[in-house]
Amino acid sequence: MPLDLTRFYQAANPSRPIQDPRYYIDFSAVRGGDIIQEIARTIVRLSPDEPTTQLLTGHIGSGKSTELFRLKAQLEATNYHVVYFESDRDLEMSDVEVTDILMAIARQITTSLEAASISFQPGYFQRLFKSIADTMRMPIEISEISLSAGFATITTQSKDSADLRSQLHQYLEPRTKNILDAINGELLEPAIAALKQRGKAGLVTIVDNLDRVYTTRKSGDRPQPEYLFVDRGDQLKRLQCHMVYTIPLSLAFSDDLPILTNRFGVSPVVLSMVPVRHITGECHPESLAKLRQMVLARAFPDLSERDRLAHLPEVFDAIDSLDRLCTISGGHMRNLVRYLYGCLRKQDPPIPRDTLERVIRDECNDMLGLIDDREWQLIFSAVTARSLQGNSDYNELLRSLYLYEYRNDEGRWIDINPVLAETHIFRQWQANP
Amino acid sequence: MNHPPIDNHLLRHNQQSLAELKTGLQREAGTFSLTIAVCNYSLLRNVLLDHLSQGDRAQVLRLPAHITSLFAAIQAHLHTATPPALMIVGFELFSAPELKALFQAANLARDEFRKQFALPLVLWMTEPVRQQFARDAPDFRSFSPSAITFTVPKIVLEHALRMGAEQVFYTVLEQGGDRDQTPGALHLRGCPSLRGELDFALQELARQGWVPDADLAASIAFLQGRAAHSRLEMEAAKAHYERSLHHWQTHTAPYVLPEWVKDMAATPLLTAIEKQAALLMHLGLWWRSNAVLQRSAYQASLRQARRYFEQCLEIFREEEQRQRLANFLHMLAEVLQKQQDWDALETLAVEGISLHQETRDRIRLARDHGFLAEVALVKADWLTAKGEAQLALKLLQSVAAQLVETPEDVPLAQALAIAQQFQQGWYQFLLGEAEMHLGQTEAAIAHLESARHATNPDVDLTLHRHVLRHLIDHYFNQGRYADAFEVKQALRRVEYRFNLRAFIGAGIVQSHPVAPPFGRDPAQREIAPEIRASGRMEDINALLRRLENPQNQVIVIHGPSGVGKSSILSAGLVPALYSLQPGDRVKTVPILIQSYDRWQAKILTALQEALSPWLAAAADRDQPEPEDVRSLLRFGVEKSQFFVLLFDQFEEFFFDEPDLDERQSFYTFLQHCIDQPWVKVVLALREDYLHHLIEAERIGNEVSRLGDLDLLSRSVRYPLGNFTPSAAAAVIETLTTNAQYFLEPALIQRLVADLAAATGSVQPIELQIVGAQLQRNEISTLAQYEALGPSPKEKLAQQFLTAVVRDCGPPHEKLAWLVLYLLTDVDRNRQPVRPSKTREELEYELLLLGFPVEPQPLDLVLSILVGSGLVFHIPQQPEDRYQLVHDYLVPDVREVQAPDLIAELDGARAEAKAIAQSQHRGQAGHRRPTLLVQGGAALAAIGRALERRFKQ
Repeated sequence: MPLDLTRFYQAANPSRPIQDPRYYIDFSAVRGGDIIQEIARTIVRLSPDEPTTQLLTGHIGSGKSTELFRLKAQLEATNYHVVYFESDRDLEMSDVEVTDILMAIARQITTSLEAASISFQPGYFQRLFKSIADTMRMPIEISEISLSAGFATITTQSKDSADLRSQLHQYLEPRTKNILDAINGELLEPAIAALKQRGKAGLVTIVDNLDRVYTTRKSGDRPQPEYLFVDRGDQLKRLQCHMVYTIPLSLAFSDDLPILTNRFGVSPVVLSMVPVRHITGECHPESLAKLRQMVLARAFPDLSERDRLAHLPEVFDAIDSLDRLCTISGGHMRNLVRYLYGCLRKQDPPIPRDTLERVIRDECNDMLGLIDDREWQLIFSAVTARSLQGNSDYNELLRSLYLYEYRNDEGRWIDINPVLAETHIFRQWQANP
Repeated sequence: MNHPPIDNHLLRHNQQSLAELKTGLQREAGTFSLTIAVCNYSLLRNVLLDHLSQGDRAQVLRLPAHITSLFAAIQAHLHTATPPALMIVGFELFSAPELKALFQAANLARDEFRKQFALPLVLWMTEPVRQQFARDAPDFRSFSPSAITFTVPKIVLEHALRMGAEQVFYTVLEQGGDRDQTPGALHLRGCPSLRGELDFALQELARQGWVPDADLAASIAFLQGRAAHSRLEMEAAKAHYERSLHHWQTHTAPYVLPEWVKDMAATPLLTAIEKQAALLMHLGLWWRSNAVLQRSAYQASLRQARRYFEQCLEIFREEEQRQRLANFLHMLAEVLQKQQDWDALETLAVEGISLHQETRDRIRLARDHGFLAEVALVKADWLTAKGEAQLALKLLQSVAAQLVETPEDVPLAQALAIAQQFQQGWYQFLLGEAEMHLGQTEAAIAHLESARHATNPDVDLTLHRHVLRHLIDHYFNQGRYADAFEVKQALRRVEYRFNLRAFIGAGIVQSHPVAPPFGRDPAQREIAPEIRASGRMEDINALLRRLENPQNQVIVIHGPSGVGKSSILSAGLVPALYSLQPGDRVKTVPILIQSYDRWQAKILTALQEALSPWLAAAADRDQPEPEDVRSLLRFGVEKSQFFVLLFDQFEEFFFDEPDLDERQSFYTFLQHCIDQPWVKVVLALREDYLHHLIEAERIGNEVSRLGDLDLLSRSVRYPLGNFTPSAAAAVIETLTTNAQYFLEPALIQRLVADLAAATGSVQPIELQIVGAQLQRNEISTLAQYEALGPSPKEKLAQQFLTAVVRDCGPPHEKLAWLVLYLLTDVDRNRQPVRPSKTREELEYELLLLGFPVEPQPLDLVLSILVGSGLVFHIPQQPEDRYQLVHDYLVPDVREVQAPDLIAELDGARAEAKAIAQSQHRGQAGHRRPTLLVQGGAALAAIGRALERRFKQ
């Protein structure tokens, strides 16, 4: 089967997310300890009755949803009632308030439980719905038997109309405490009791895609992620059932991480990059093999892994060039694809080594202009320490991709972006630290 | 202009990058892709864009100056065209903050670009713009591979640099003359993007290890000197200028253009001696800036500036460049004026007259006469001064008249505008002063008033203040005290605005209406500068943060009397609210209620006013108009307004509405507002009335469905206290430092100790009064303070009062004291109180004292007392009232009164009070006694006192 150049070119366009499952490669084996196992264990073994709150984060597209589906299956196997939902379907991610999250959660829980024939007594929420209906002149379905319809109206209206959302924020936010109390007292407590009566072990809610909240500024110029999860984390923590939230990666490296950890009582669990090297610095053959497949799958989606390698000469002048591409990416998938795309733009395949080197040089020049002396000093000290010790300056370095973070069963470490590792300035420092 | 040889040269030079870009455009046609192209030179970029848009390969989108977002700009363009690819240029024309916003928004919307635009996008950037893009839009950037860079060959760069420098030399000497040579204008010369490209060229050549020849190095030093000078990096600027000057004094061989550019239109090349002149002029400018920056070296710097300007002008004389001599003559004249070397100035001005007659430059000619007028004024030759100043003004008028005929003469119009801004007021001032000395008072005042309005404090603060001070003196000397006071207030406002006054003295601060700039809401006001001087900005910011936070619906501000609640509301919070735009709101409408009779009508009027455009539109469309307060609020919220209802001196509400039913309707309304989205409530009241809110809370909770109002919780209350001693010290330090009025630390310490002596904390009003007087006395050391006497703080407060009374004019000082006295009293516990009185009551009591007054002097005294901030003017139905601003002033007022006056009036008033109290018990301690009852009693007492006086 000959290489379809146009398709290959488009599959390598870094602006396009993977939609074709044939390009998908499972990296979980090389990413270290089973994070999902740990979250499930915390709920099932350590705290079956005391509600827990756990936080998951990682680069966008690092496979969080896949992992959360695994979690859901595991928990259901141990007899938990699991409510999983993609929060970006209920929330307007540029403008989220805590009460939005609470209402979305209440909606999903009531919907799921009512479907399981568990119903709720009308109480605070009936009155709240009526009061909102009066004040906002918003038709809300208020039913004696179903609360979920009311929550659904409010979340849907709030997501769809900026104007209504802003008014709802004004109405609901001052009442956060009362709403929390009512969710706990009128929804969760009776629900869990009813579930247990039916022999269930308990209730777990998984809020996916909450890491996609924008970094827009909230009042007081506070970035939205910090505002929601740090400033008001204690309110998200107060829900009286097992909760798993996905949160933005920046928080895991933020100055506010200690406060965040304190508010939630746990540190966020991070899905990290593919370690192309071991913590000791030697090549990681399993990771490399998977990254090679990631490149070749884009050229030959329909071939088996072995056949793809056999066709390698159509894409690269030598396997060394492919390996060079994989290692220089540092296990950052988007960058791997960007460099591949850069090569294809300079030259039709098979890609010779010197074209790849020119692409690396271009990237290097792009980055060098950005890094000032202060940042170099930070990079040097991070590389020396191999870890990021609660300095928010590092957060910028991670976000700018000057530094990469790896976590696997060998531990957790920091390395410089391999492109920068080859610069004169870094080499000079390595020789005379 | 097309220069194919150069174009081809440039395209060949960038062959590889071009091929890469073209591959991208070709392969991705019909699908989204993102490419960053980096090019630092507009010349090269235009060549490349021409080349790339040939054969309908791609279109160019030049970003307009005002765009809401990159996404929207592209979308708008694609609305009318469907090119195979789009190249976007013009990013470098935006300011860094604009670019930041643009890129951050693009980063957030990155998925939308991918989904909506099915074509390759190429963003053309300069290197600094690309770096900002990488910083502010890292995720968006990751959609593209590394940038494709385009460069210019070295020989072209070097030539561009040389021509750029020549261009600057030429512009400096040829355009505008002295008018353009203010330090602020240095960096504006020439085209900013050209300057940016010169920087790129320099950096690029430096990277290639290139060393410029001596001529070019000297030109570059000149450019670097100007750049450093405009950034006020003074030492670096001077070094660059001196190095460049030295070169042009020793190397005089002309530069020869290379063959390959001969045919290109180029700037005429200047000779070395002309470049010398340019540098001498810049060094003169440098010393003039230095004189301002280093006040201690003022005279020495002026001497240096004079030396350089004289040398510069000497070159023009020797080279017989009459035009340049005429254009730059006044640089030297200004220095002579500052040196007060009147003889030299006179000689130069006379030379100027013949020069500027020769060059037919009436605007500079006017200035020559202006200088002569000033010299004459100094020499007490009033008639000459008047004549010269009139001549100067007449010349400007004749230019203005000519411009009516020839409006197309833009340079002349600009020159006139500058003269009107900088010099016309000065001529009027000189004329007015001369007339004043000649005894032509009326004309003099008229000219000085013109000068006052023609001088702009933003342009020449020193001259403006000088004019105002002279006016105040003239008015006062002529017994026009009200006019003098009005100018004094104007001067004070200017001084607050420019941070020359650290303290605000007494009184509630009112915000000043802002002259509405184009397109701005005329209702908008700005935070009074006095509020910044009150040390309360932090409180205002905290209140704003609370109001924009959706978790708060209501704020209760509470504090002791005199702590500044009313000032903070009316001059700080309310103006600041106008510019608050929380969430999706387009406008914040603060509604301030200060008295409680007919509160509903007041809110209704304010709402109708704020919503008038929409109400009119609704009426036009025959829609039902909302009529009551509630539906108006609802109507406004739907129009994306944010309402903040502020109820000041809320304790008064409990007196104005003694009836529970009335109060109930207010509380129900309050609860309604609190429940409404985007309607928030601020209540400000004296601390000792806080408990009255329990009633409001109870009734509010009865009427609402959810019943969750909690008015006294900590998240609702905002306590506003006196300053702690350490906070007071910090406030004094900030205020004085901002005003460049530096107090000895020992003095601040002592001052705070004295201010806190009585209660352990510092009352803001006392701090302001004592501070204001301290600055008026120019006291900055502890020794000066102690020299005031045994109790310096009290002395200062007394002086403050005396100064206000003195402003009323010598004939009215006694009346002013009496009015102040009548506005004080002591209660049964000998505690000072401040009765509020109507004008009529004051007139009666003055009569009672045997001090009958005409309406006019009383008007004057009251307006000055109110204007100075000592006395509140409380607008009220049926008659306005007056009240001393603070208890703190009561003893001071009473102590300076003649004892017999006190005795006489006290007798009458004790009687009045006894009657009042027998009729009206249980309401002691009001901010304001119930009027009717006590008013009647007072009248009766006054009647009796009058009878007694007649009997005597």
